[in-house]
Parts: sequence; structure tokens; C-alpha cells
Amino acid sequence: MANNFNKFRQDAVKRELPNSDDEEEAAQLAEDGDICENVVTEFPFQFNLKDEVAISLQQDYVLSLGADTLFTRLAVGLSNNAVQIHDINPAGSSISNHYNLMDNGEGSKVSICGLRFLDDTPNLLLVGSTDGPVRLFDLRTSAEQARYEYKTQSFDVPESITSFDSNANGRIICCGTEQYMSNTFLLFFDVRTRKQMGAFFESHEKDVTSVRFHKSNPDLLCSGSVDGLINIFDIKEPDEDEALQNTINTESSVYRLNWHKNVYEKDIISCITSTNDFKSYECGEGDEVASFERPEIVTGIRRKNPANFNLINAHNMTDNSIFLLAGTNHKEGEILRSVGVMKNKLQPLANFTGNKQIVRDSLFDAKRNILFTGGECGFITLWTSDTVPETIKTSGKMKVKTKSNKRTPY
Amino acid sequence: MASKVSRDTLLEGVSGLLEASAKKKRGFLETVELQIGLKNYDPQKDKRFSGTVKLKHIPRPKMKVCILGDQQHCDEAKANNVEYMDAEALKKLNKNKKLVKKLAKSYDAFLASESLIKQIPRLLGPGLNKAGKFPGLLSHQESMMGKIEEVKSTIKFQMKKVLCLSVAVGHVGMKQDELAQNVNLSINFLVSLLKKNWQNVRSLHIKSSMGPPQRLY
Repeated sequence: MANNFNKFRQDAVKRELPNSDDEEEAAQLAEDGDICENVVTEFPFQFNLKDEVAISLQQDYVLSLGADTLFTRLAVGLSNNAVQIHDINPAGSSISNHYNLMDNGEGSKVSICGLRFLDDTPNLLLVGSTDGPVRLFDLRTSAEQARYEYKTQSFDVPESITSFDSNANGRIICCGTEQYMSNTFLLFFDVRTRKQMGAFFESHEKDVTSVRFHKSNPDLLCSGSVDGLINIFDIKEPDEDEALQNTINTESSVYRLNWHKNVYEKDIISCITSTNDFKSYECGEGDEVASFERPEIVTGIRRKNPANFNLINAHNMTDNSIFLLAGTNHKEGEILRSVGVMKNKLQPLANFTGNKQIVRDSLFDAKRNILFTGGECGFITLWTSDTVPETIKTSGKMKVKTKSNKRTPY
Repeated sequence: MASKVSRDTLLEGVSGLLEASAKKKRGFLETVELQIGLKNYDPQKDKRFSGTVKLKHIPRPKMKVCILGDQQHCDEAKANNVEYMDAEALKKLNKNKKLVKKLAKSYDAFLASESLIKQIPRLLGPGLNKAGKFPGLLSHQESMMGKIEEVKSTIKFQMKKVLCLSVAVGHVGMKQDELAQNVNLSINFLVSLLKKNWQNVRSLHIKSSMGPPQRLY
């Protein structure tokens, strides 16, 4: 009897225990799913993967995407501070001819925190890195034309930046910083003279996470922070007190801001929070326009589990209606869908088939209905659809334009 | 998503914490913190972990809220023994930075009526912003006392560059089940925000200000 027990004990020791991570993964997968019967009928627009490029074969994430006004060039920023430039073909169906604009630093602790084309041409690209400098490249020569970096004079400015943007006329750059020695900064640079213009440091308490200039008004700027505030500035005023037009308290933590227009052409600012909620506000008065918390958006994309959710971005369509791009985290983030934002509800809009990663940034070409996504598996993906949503009507019916497949008779 | 912290473990931890605190009486009300150790998370690459969560029971009972109100809200505040200021009182500060800073220091949080909140930058400048005390919106659609309760029950969390996060979820004067509920709610919410949920959690502890940490996971 004792011998059998000893043998049993010895065998038990030799047997490999199941990996607890695998068990957990399986348990998690079992807990999520669609809440609708048929995704194809629920989401009027089906987008398919038209082209995909693997940017990084290491563990780097695509964190930032930038494109010129006409979507002829795609800039891709990685979590290791590398930047690649790709061409988008005139038909908007493929990405090709890439080259490295900026190489990663070996073992770099720095990542790209923003990419912006400076003007309407596809030639001048601003690249922001988290260790501080914003670099201007001329893509015709791949040479660095300028570097915008804050040199401290009277007070301690942190070396790292978290986000940046350039204004509508390409003359000013604004960088947001982390909180450092009880101050958080918005740093301003003159693009042409390369000089620093000054800084705001009274309007945020915690790290700035998003800095966005208005698309056409060169003086209008909004900034968002972990402190939950969205500040709107008119930078014609040099004094911070006078420049601050309005402060909106999201009562959460801001992750990403975007500018939109409503039906009356009034400016709207939308906010994606760090807890995956969506809120939008009228720019002038600061009145809340729409608010959807994480569970509502999860239901909007017809999924079960709010713990498996990633709210990616808010985009504009040609008629100014807004849609949210959202996905999941488990199973490499395979679910990718969009919902139209109405006054009081979210309407399922598009389903993207073939996604393979957790998406971290996206660009939408509204004129041609092409979506570009980049994410944690190092892919950039181009999505197109045969049926294109032109508008989201409040009645719930979508206007559909089908790409003509008519063959010419001869 | 099933919690990895069983009800028993949670209650044991909470009662252990409360007992330890009761044994050594302190001259102040100890805060109870939830400490989360993360794993498989890269602060440089992964999405930032920060936000707010509303708890079931008020974690900071002594929190002072001031109403910046229109006529209606000021009357209501007065009737409910809540401190308040109206537009005139704010104008008297004359945008003086020192006075605004002093005002910010006098209260833990502010709530402002819709009509007043739009004027804050004009009336006070960015002083409240910098202090992290910019008011939340108090609308006429909701109950003032309800909103105050909500503000007192909401906690903020922000993870910086290190892989651990500490959040104040209660105090040692709370009943065991109330404290347990706050801890449970916080754990579930915070884990739900993590990319891989429980696979991103290395450890969980609760700790009173002066007491030993109690491990929950």
C-alpha cells in the first residue's frame, strides 16, 4: 500500500501542471461574445481588409498614424521611436514603398507620441517623441529640417512630452507635458523661426494626454488631461488667463480629444476617457452634447463583456456625423466595429472582418470611406467597403451608396 | 468576469485590517488603501491606466464640498447646511491669484451651477484648474444632495511609471461589509479596465494608513 502511494506521489510530481495563464485565457474567451444573432445584418456596412503591412516583427506597437490631406502618404509611428513612411496608391486600395524615416534607438525607452503633416502637401512631417523633441522632416530628402525642443529659462520644464499638434496655418506647434514638480505645461513653438514662444502652466493639474488645434481656426486649441479637464484656448491672447476661453470638467480622465462640427456648423469637442467612455461638448458654451459610458458602447457594438473593450477613436463623416471606432482586447483584439453617435443612442454602423490586433490609432478618409488602423501586433491595415455609408440619418435609416460594378457593354 | 478574490478571502482581509487598526488607536482616522501590483504591462507602450470610479459607500466622510451656485442652488445649499458662494461672492475675489488659491485649499471639491461654471475662467482665472479643484457640473435636473454624495463617493486613480497603483477606498471607521463592498467594487472595476484583466494582476493588498498590508491575491 505504501509503495503504491509513493509511486502515485512520484508520478504526481512528474506530471506538468496546466499553465494557469492558459486556463485564464480560455475562461476569459468563454465569457465574451456577440449579443446579436447575425453581425452581417446588424451592421449595415461590412468592411474588408483590403491591404495589410507588417511594420514590426519585434514586439513594437504602432501607436501613431498620420496622413496628408489627400491621403497619398501614410506615416507610421512606433513604440520604439521608429517612423516609417508608406505611399497610398491613388485608388486608395494599397499601401506600399515604405522606408524608414527614423530608426529606433536600441533599447529605446522613447516612443512616438504624434505625427502631423504640417501643411496640405505630403512633404513636411512633424514627428513627436516622448523624450521631448518634435522634429520636422522634409520627406523629399528625408532630412531633418528643424527640431523644436524647450530650453528652460526660468522654471523647470519636464523633458518629456505626451502629445503635440500644429495649428491650421502651420505656424505654431503646441506640446503637452507630464506633470513635473507640481506643474504641467503646454509649450508653444514658432514653426518658422524654430523658437519657443512661451508656455501655459496654470490650466492643468495632471499630465496632459491630448492636444488638438482646430482644423481651420489657427488660434483655437483644446487640451485634455488625466485631471479630467478639457481646456479651450484662443492663443491670439499671449496671457494664459486671457487665452483660456473655457474649461470643461469631464469628471473622468481624458484620453483622446477630437474636433467635430454639428449640423449648425458649430464646433464640438469630443472626448474618449481613459475608462473607455465617450462624451462630447459644444465648444462655445461647454454644454454637454452626448455622453455614453463604457457599457452602453459595448452594447452598441453588440458585445457582451465591458471588461474586454477598447474604445479607439471618434471620426467624422462627410456630413459631419460622428462614428466611434471600437474593438476588443482578448484574442489579439479581433473584433473591430463602429457605431454612429446620435443624440441619445448609438447605432451599429460597420463591422470590420479580418482584424488581427488591438488597434491603437486610426485614420478615416471620409471622402473615399477608407479606414486605416495600426496596433499592438505591428500591423497597419487598410479597410474598404463595397457599400459605403454616406450619412447617419436620425430616423435610423442609412443612406447607402453602392459602388457601381456595372460592366460596360463593350 | 469572475473575481479571483473569494468572498471569504475578502472578508478575512478586511476584518484582519480592522482588528489591527482597533488594537492600536491612532490620533486620526486611518484611510484604507487598495494596492494593486501589475504584471505584463508596459507603461511606455500600453494604454494609460487612470480614471475615476464611484464607490458604494463614502470613503472620505470628512470631504468638504462647496457649491458655486445660482440663486436656486444657493438657496438649496443654505437649506441643507452646505457651504456655498454665489457669482457676487466670486466676483469679490477679483481674480486675485492668492485668494483663489486660498479658496481652492479651503475645500476638497466644488460643484457649480450651469450658468456659473461657464464664467469660472472669467471670474477666477485658472486657479481652480491648477489646484485640481475645478468644479463638477451641478444641473437642475438632479438632486444637489445626490450629486454631493456622488462626488464624495468617487475616487480617482492614476498609474504613473511604476507597476503599482494605490487607491483610497475607505477608512477604518467603516463597517466590515461596507468596506468589503468598496474593496470588491474597486477591484472588479480596475481589473475590468486592464487589457488582459486578471492576467495583468500580480498582487492585491489592502492596507490601513499605519497598519500592516493584508494580501488578497
